[in-house]
This record gives sequence, C-alpha cells and structure tokens, in this order.
Amino acid sequence: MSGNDGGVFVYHPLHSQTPLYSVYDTAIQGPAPKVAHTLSPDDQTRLLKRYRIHMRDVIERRGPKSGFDLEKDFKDDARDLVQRFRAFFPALLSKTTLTEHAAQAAIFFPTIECFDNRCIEIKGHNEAIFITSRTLDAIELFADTLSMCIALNGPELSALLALENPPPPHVLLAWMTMNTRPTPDVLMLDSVLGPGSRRLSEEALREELYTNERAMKWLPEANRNGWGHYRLSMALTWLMLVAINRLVRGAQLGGEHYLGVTIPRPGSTSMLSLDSRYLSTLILSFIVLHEIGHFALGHNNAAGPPVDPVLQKIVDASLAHAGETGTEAQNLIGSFVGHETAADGFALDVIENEYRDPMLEAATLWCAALAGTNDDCGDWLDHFGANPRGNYPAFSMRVWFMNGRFSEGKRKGRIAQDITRQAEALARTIRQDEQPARDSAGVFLKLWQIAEKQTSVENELLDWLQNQLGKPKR
Amino acid sequence: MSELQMHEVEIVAPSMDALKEVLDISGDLNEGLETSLAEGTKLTVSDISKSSGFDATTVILTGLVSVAVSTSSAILIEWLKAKLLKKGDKPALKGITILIDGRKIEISGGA
Repeated sequence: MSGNDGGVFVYHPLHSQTPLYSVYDTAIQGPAPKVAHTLSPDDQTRLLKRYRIHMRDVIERRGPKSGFDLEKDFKDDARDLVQRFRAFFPALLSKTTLTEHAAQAAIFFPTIECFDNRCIEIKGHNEAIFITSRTLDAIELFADTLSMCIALNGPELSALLALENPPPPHVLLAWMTMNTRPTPDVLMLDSVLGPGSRRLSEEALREELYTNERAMKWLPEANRNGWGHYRLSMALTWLMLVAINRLVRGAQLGGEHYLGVTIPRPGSTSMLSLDSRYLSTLILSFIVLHEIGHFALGHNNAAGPPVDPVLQKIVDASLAHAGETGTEAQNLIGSFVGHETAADGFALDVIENEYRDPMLEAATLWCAALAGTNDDCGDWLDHFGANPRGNYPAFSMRVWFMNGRFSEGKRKGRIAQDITRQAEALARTIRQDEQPARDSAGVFLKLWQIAEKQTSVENELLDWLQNQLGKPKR
Repeated sequence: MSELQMHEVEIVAPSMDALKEVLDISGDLNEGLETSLAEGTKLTVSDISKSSGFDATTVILTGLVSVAVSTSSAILIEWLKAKLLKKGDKPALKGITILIDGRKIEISGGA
C-alpha cells in the first residue's frame, strides 16, 4: 500500500502499517532463537570444506588479496542484522507455502570481505547457505541510506509536489532517489558531487544544498527546504550506489571507505517513513529464500534438475518455429538466466499474497542497487543477447522479471514500468562515476552528517515551531 | 600387472559443459565415472559439486588419476595443459583451474 498526498498516489509498501511489518515487529521483540542450525558436526565440517573450495575461486577474483586465510580465518558474523534475521525468518516462513524443512536450513554468515551469497549441498550430508559479512555490509549501507532519504523527503513531499504542474500521477517514495543523475544537471549535483566538493567543509556543503542563490532564487520560500532535502538525498543515494558497486566488484576498489558512516534509522508510525532495520532484514530474507529456491528447484544437481516434459515440448516447438521463420529463439532451460530468475520467482512465489508486496519492493530495490556490478552495465537485453546461456541475468533484467510476474494492484502497470526503467537507467550510468573512493567517501560522510542534523528531533521541532509562527524554514 | 601412481585431481569450471570439454567427455559426467585421459592415465570421478554464487557458478570435480609407473605424470600435466590452450579455431577454455595433488597447473604463453 500506500497513501495519498494532495491527490497524488504515494506508493510505499515498506511502511510500518502492513501485515508483514507486524510479523517482523512481533518476531524481533521475542527471544532470539538458541540454535542457528541442526547440522551434525560431520555434515557441518563437510559443507564448510566444500564452501571453502568454491570460495577459493571467488576470492581469487574479487576477494582480499593478502592477509586472509580462508582455512583459518573462518568466523561467523553475529551482528544485530543476523540476530534480527534469525528471529524474523521462522515467522516469515509461517506466511509462506514452504515446509518445516526450510526453517531448518543451515545459514552461515562467514566474516569475509568479499561479496558473495551461495548455497552448497552434498548428497547425503545436507545443505547450507552462506552469506558473507561483506554482503551484510552492503545491505546495511543501502537500507540505512534509503531510510535516511525517505526521512528527508517524506515530510517535504507536499512542498516538492507543489513544484510540479501538473502533479505526477504517483510518487514512488523509496525510488525517488534511486535514479540516475539528471542530464543536464538540473539538481546541480555536480556542485555537491564534483571533484571540487571534497575540499568543501560540511558547512559549505550545507550552504550549497540549502541556500545557494542560483538554485533557490526561483523557488518560493516554502519549497526551499524540501528542494534542499531532495538534492541532499539524491547526492547521498548516488554516492551510496557508487560505494555498493565498488564493494560488490572487489575488495580493492575502496568501497570499504564508506562503511561505518551510516547508522540504522528507526521508522515511525508515519506512512512516509522507512525503518532501515526492517528493510535490511527483508533484503537478507529475500536472498535466503532465493538460495532455498536453488535447493528446491534442483539447480545444484550437476546434471541439472529434471525438466518438465511439457515445458521441453514448448521450447522444442518454439525453437523449430524460429528455425522455420528465420527468427531467433533461445532455450533457457538449465541456463544461468533460467536458474537465477527461477530462484527469484520462487522466493516471491512462496510468500502468501497478503505479505508479498513489501518483499517485492525490497527485492527490486536491492537488485536495482546491484545493477552494473556483474559486468551487466548497459542494456540488459544486449547483455543477455551476447551470451544467452552463458551470462548471468543482468540485475535490471531481474527487476524487470520480478515486476512483470508479481506486480499486482496499484503496482501493476505504470508503477512497475517506472521502477523497471529506473533500474535500467542505473545499470547504464552507475560505472560512469569513478572518482577516487576515499575522496567520495569523505563527501558522503559530510552529507550524512548534514542529513542527520536535518532530520534530528530538535530540527523537526524547530521547523514545526517556525511553521506555527509563520517564519520561513532554514 | 604394472604398478600405479595415484594423484588427486581437482578441476574448477564455470559449467558442466566446460568440464566435459576439458575431459573430452561427450556423454554423462557423474560420480563414479572412469575415463581415460592421456596415454596410460585414468580418471575416476569421486565427486562433482555445483554451486551458484552471486556472479558466477562453479562446478568442481574431484577425483583420482591413476598413472602407470612406466608413464611420467608429466604426460598427464601436458595433456591437461593442452586442453586449456587454444586449439585450431576453438577458443581457449576460460575460467578453468586444475589442481593436481593441491598444486595448480599454470599455463604460460601460447594461449
């Protein structure tokens, strides 16, 4: 759901008044589960050994280059996100069609500075899911930043909408900033994100965002604060996306400089807010459901999962037809695109209707944030066409697929299309911003500090008082 | 009966198809399969493990290669290296790592 703001439909299924949020809130208030898994020591040893073998290849490509020994440095991450997930996931499973077996899946969070999520199974020795600590870092950075942006933009939505004539048919609250930097730079983000910005103090950056004459002179007084908030949130999101891109692509690209800057932000009862802990827990749950999907669909079978004969006939007929008509068709059974999209579909399909929309929103936001991280920059159709059976699906393709298959109600149609287009646009542009990571991280820290001050309780009270007294906002 | 030397082999590949290509296998590749490699060498597959990660899938074959004592294990290594190199109009195999007794086979030049 969602709400209305001055006649404009505001789409924001991640607010705190949904059945899924209630499940989450109740679950995390309860005691933390004592046992994380039920693997026998022998199965655990075998699965960890197998995991290390698979990860050796990943670490060679994208991991820390020195000072890390996969054999001896294997520690489980126990951060708050993991505890919340362990409390929430069994409750989420009770709202799915999955059996008790899913609740017993062993899930490990190894402390490895390399982004990776995978599932391992050994015939006769059970199965396990592994999600690295670097993945958790990226999820938290993403959720905290998005929550901050909604805290900035939500209360100012009316003022921002007043700037648009005619007003848009809908506002996608969480997606307001998940967009490319506009060309031309009508938001004047170059002045905040450009190479010169690293030398600006926090105060100078605040001045630039909120009181710059060039930007503000054409705006009515009442809209200036909201416009400043919007520019700040766009800059924060862009730098966060650049950071995630680097964190995911490898351990040597400087993305780690951005970690530790953000802190989780609570939501509120307002429908225009977002609890960052809730979002990060949903994203983690989606990843785990996706991996369970790989198990359930037999994707780890070396010879491939059994193929539905009806589906095979359809594919054969399509290929034959393409041959006769001189067109092109691809058999995606058993391909990477087929497996990954099927696992995404599984993760959402098993959730009961009433609880699905927030998970779909979290899943598509997360995939959009990863757009361009796996050599999938640019148009996903070109990426797919280059090697239909050998390429992983582009993340923007996954957004397109999930939206197309699961969007219902208000999301179906224009909203789903807009979300897909935004993810596609991010995939095209995210790698164009390659400033030195340390410099950008310094700007990100200053912007975050400005945002914290802008959204602090004191500030909100002051704004409220100033409004009551009829004085302009700062 | 000639004596045999046994070597542990581990092949990491991006797909089952790539694995089959390295080993020149056209049929099913399963645990327990025995197949001849280079002259006087035979591979027994003990395990095949597939795992899909965030950005790539890895298929890992582990097995034992028996080499007749009369044959140098260098023949096996050269045979495997040759499989990794570009041959005629066939492109070089990418993303393949082969370890024999824990030591990685390195390809230098030619590819």
